[in-house]
Amino acid sequence: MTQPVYLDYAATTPVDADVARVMNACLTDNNGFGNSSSGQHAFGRKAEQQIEWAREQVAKLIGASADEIVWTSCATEADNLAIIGAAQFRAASGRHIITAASEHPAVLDACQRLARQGFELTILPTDARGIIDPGQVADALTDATTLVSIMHVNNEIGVVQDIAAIGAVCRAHGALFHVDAAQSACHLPIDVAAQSIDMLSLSAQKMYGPKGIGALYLNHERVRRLEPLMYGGSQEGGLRPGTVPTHQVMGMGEACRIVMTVMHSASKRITALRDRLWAGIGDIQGVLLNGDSKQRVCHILNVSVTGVEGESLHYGLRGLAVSAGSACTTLDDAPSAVLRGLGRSDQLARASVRFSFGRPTTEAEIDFAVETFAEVVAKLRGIAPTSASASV
Amino acid sequence: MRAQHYSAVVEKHFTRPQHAGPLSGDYEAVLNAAAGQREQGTEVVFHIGITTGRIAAITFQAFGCPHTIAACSVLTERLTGLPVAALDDVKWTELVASLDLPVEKTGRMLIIEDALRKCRAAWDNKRLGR
Repeated sequence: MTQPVYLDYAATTPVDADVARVMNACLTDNNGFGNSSSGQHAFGRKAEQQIEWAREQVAKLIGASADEIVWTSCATEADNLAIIGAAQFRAASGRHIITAASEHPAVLDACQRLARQGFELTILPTDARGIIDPGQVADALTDATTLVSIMHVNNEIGVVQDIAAIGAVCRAHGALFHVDAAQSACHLPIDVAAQSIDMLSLSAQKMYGPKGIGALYLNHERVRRLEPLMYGGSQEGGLRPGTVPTHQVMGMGEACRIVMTVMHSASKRITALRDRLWAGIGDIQGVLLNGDSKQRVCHILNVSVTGVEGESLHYGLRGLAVSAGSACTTLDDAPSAVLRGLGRSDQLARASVRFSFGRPTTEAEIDFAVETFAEVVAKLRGIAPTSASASV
Repeated sequence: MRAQHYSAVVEKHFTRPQHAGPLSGDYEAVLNAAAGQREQGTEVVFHIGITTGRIAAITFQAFGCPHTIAACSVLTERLTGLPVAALDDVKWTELVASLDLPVEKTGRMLIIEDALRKCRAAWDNKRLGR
């Protein structure tokens, strides 16, 4: 078995071989390099055809129409465009935004920027399971609420929010509802109409597509216009100017096509792998599951460990490519705000590990992870002072 | 968590820490001293067995980062067999240099130094019959 064993699929996934083939064909085909905006000749029209095929695949994955999909560079850009773009365009009708403390920094930081511009911001706390009750959203709505942004699946602990119920609350009120679905689209069915979603962010790199491409769904009946973040072209209806990268969007389109064919079987298999890991480590004393035990996605398992120091735990686990918190927050030393929001102490928030699984994960890798984790925890606890020795 | 720098010495002693655990055996005197607080991320305890004025055996227990565990392990190797006065020679600056530690680990080395100073003070108290 090659080490380290990759168990960080929530951070990013490898590019599927079929996706790479489709992308490579775009890059090497002498007829495929055209600029999709150059509709006056065959090169441009071919690129446009490819881009529209990819757009259809993304739309099908979430039950939308192709003309409701806008290409972005990643889910972070999609989050920013949705939140800042919608709030600024609709500022005259309301300047209150609601989000959750457990959101990805792409959402929280965009909301904080609007707060600095004078918008009122309500940040809802999760309960100890990591869940936002739709009633919390209902209670926070005011006449001035213009936008609610709640993620589908939390990127650190894997808790699944009741998006349909929250969407219904927002729809009844009239506020726009944005969902960051970067972690869910590969593993859970999404139906933007049934779930009353007005805007939804997607990332290719979380679904075996390439990095550098994402998409934003905009409900054309409910979202008339956004204020763009960039200017300089009419691509994507002027919402996201710049030449559309054909090979990138084809990669995302193919990734979505594959997800639609394998989601059910892959999620079932990944659930079994996640449960196998938990069966192996959950019985170790002081290993605590972070987040709700039932309302969770198949590919993320986050645990805290009592009696061990976080950095030593992570260094001890260097045979496993796992994560302490999310890839987007581990660049600083602060304990995870999501875990602190669950009521975990600083020490438990630091001594946490996010395991995340993917289509290539094997049972042998899970068994190796169980063995490694148990050894490291036992070793660190064996070195640590006991209450008797520490009182000298 | 930022990507940390782990030197070869830290890697070696974290992977296979020497003299970790409680002290066993019979000695003319036994010194125990702790420093740091677990709630603040670092807690170290040293146990020293003394015979004829020398450190006959020294063990440690530590809750802390890999650098802390490695530094404790290195020190137990270095100090075994030396006169008790050698405890005075342990300096955090030397630990930072010899283990090639990142500057943010300075505080942890000070905690280790504190624990060894307490051991030395306990020895002086024993000798003076306090």
